[in-house]
Amino acid sequence: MLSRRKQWNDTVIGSTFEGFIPIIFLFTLWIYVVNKGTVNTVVLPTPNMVLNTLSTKIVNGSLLAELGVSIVRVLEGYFLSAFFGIGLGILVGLSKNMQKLTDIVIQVLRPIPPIAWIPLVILWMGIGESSKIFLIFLGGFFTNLINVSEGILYTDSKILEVARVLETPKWKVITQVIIPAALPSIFTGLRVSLGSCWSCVVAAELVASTSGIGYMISNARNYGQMDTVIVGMLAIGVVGKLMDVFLKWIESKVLAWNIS
Amino acid sequence: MALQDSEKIIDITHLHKKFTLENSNELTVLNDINLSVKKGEFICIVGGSGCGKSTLLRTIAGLDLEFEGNVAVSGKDINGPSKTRGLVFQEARLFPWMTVQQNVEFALDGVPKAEKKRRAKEILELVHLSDFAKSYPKELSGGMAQRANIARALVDNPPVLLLDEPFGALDAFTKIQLQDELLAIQEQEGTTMVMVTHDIEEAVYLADRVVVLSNRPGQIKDIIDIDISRPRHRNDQYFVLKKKKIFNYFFEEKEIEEDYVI
Repeated sequence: MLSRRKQWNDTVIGSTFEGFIPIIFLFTLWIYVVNKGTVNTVVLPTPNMVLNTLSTKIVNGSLLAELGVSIVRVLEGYFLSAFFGIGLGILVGLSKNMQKLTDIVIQVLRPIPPIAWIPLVILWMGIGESSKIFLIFLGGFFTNLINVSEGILYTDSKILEVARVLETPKWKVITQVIIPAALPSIFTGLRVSLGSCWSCVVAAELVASTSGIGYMISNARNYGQMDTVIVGMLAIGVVGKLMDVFLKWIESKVLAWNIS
Repeated sequence: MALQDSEKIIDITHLHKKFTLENSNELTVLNDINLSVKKGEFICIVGGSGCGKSTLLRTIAGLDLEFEGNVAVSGKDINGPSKTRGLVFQEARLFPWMTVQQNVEFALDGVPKAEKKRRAKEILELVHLSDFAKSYPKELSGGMAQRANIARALVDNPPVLLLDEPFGALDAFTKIQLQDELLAIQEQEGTTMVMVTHDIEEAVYLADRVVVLSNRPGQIKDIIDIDISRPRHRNDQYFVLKKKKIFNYFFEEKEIEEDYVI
């Protein structure tokens, strides 16, 4: 019974039943606090208000429309960050010279949060789509880069020795040994970076946007509609979680050999 | 046993090997090793932990080129690893993302796909692993993984097979089974085999000659002919006598030697 329940949760939601206990607790706390009347509902709307706003926005399609716009942006930025991050990561991982050349630059650029780039990005790219996508790209690029290059760097030397003894051609070693060995690390990068790209969407949509879930949140803030803000926040959280479940599912297919 | 040059497949003369330690002291690992191996011969090198027996094997494999002296295989000085010398590591070191068959086929280059498949199939039959050709390494037991490892090293038909304590981590039953299979392979393929082991009984059971290596610095104490016809029986008096003879080499050196198993 327990195992069947666990299986269902793992495949459908990607979580255990126990994981919902804190959510129920937080919900109860929320209801308790607003019912007590000590907190102004302008500051913290009641669960009912949030649910009403949520259902209105689902029914009139605006929530999905805004989410759709944001998801497209995030996917564009994410694929760019994966493409360039993995590409450059492979070069850095394979070549000692590339590593020496890029090490300091990467270490210095990496800690700069994408939000700090906004002034420059607006100046360089304007307020169109490209600036938003670039910010999202920045959110995932370094995570991909570092996971790939370190995954390659830490390839088990014992396994490389096997290829040496067999006089395996270099290209075959790279494609059939080094990169597959780094795949678990590459996937970790892909998952973490999707999370950071997605969480960059609000920052990206602060750049003179008129659409997207980030815009919905900042616009609602201007009108003091905290229920809409919370709906937006929850939507970001749920979509982020679903994206991770999806990537985990792909990982379990691609890396079946790695799961014990 | 003086060998004619034409008979020798491995010829080691005056091999010295030193490691430089961190405090820039030098540690002699191998001291004046002289050993010739005949084509088709089965040689076992026995010695305690840290006596340099694995270093000796890695040197023959071409993985370790910083040495003094000469190491020639098939009349040519070695200058790196070569497909003509297969190496079986103690840990199976299979590629976990490949099936057993893909692991074996990996050792073949410049061969058409169909030919790869055929040869992998053939060698997997030889090591009794055909049923697991499509399995991934994580699904194999230790003994099966080691069979796959041996198959990968053998699939390209190397004239020389080097084995570094290949059965060291296996249970006694699997070990005995694999020893017999290895002998059967050697008989069928005529491969020259050099095996490093700390198991004296294993050495006497398998080898035509047993090389006894002393501890620090590793040098050859004796080379013992095992003139017992096969199949050998582990409890025969003469077998036990050979075992004792080798055993005694280690006991004169040290009262308690914990690193090998009888």
